[in-house]
Amino acid sequence: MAAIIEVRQLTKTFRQSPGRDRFLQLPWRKKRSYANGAAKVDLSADETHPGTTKVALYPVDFQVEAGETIAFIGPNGAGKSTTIKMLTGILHPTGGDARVLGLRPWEKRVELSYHIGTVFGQKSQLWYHLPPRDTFDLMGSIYDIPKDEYRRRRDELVERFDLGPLLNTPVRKLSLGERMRCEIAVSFLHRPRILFLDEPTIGLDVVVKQTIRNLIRDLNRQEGVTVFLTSHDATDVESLCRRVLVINQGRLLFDGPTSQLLTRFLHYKEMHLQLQTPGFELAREGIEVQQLDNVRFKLVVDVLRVEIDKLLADILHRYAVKDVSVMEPAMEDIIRAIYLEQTPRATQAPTALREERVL
Amino acid sequence: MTGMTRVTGWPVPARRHTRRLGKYWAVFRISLRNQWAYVPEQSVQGIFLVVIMYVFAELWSTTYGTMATSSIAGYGIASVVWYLAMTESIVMGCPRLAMRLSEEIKHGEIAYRLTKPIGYIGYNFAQYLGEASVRIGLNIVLAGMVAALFFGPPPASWASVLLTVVATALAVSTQFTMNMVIGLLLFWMEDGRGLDLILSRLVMILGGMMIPLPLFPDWLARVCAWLPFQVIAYLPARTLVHLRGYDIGQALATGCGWMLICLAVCTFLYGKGVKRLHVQGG
Repeated sequence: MAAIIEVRQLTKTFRQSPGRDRFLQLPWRKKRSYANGAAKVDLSADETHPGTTKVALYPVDFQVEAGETIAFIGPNGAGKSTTIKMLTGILHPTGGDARVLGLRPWEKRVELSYHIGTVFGQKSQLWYHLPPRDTFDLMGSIYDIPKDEYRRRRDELVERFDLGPLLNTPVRKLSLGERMRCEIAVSFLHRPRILFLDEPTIGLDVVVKQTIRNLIRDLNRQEGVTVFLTSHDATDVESLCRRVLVINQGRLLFDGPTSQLLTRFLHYKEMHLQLQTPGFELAREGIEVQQLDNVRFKLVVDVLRVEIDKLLADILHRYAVKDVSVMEPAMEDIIRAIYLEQTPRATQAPTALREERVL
Repeated sequence: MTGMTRVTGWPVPARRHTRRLGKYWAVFRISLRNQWAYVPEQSVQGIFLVVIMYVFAELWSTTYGTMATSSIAGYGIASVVWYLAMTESIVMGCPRLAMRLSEEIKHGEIAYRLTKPIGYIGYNFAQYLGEASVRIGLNIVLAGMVAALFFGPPPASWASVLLTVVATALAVSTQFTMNMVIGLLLFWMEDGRGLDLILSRLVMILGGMMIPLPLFPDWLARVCAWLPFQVIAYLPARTLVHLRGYDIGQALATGCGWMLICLAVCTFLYGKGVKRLHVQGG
């Protein structure tokens, strides 16, 4: 299978003008210094490039196959959006190369735009005072879609995204979730081969997030569209993407299957117990017990040291259990675990495990 | 990247699809419809225009009364008031493009513009034209009502009205290209409000927004007649109220020249600026 996206040694640095620091800084104030100096490169020694540069992305390499669902995760300022903007041709890289559908995005941005869709969670392409139908019409014209085909495709998306009642309502009167459904539907109008989603569920409630995830997953399966997603939301990644790239401070930390990420970087599971009668005692290495009330207990279990099925069998044998649930680790904890692994002195167990899980 | 082959099977457009006029027409239409939503709000702003018109009408009436003359540099009182109605309508009706582009760059909405198969300058022009059409149209109705109420219909022939439509289209286009230059400079600068303010004041003073150029000192009028600022205010207003003795062919040619020069600057700046664009992250 041919790679649909190929990235080789892609780098991006942003020049930071020295002008203000140099001329406007008050003489009694200390010179500006950066806390995370690793991501900032001082080029002041270079006479042709005075000032500093901020490295948004250190050289990265990866490939994406057609039909894959791939997540790009990391904290704020990690380089996720910068990468997506280079792959869609909005930003020009400082170094390296990338091909999307065989095209170099920043050189063939217009050609590429016919084959990719973009959804930026914090921005809108819908016309605020007009119903979504008008934006659909506009995009039909912009993408040169023949009229008959356009109507067929629009009606199909309206049905699939359940937009019927929203289609003629001014965008300003739609909820954020309804608007996002429209945004994604509009992005699919021209049958893109790749959909770039930059924080598509940001600001949405749990139920709407799940609706959006289901729609994206269905489109990936039914139309074979490649999904390239950036998100802060761990559940987005777990429920949508089979492969994950973890990035922090412009460096790629992990590239592999989402399941591997879970087993490799976080081996803690959370067990919630509700007993029929008060009284629970369990002192074993690899298990941390927290009493929530008389009959409810939370156990944080290190699955590398304790076999969870044996533990469960033991508890069921010794106590009258009314209810029990075992929770997988949250993506946030996995990211934290990667950081902890790279910082050998910090070995404590994650303190916060996810409270709820929506599947 | 050696050894990479283009993924086949997808029809990559062979020619510049950004040049298809149909898509810009679609942007113009949606912008026009979107602007209709602002008509009530703009009607309120129109009150300000009506007040300005009234104040200037009184001011010029006093001036003409004091000088005990019915004509200054060929302009009667009705001509001057209709001249003002026209210039105020156009200048107040042109959208604040530089501010909008500044917001788009700051907040990252430009990302959506650049990932669509449509030219960035052309998209903005079509949108600007749609907005300006509604705003200027409404302003002309309101200002015209005040002028007609106190001084009667404009001293214009049908030919001058038709030529005014052409001159107004040229004025709006030139205003767009000049604003777009400022907007594109935002790829390098952080704030374009200063330049935007300077441009608007130049149009106000040197463009003849408040006083027709023939009422300027002779040397200044001659200089201003060759500047781009008069294309936005003086050219369409003079065409409407005082076409006689005006070399309209030369005036329109000068206007077209300035518009094309600014357009060329826009194209140059866009080509350079888009490569160094710093879109805000998500």
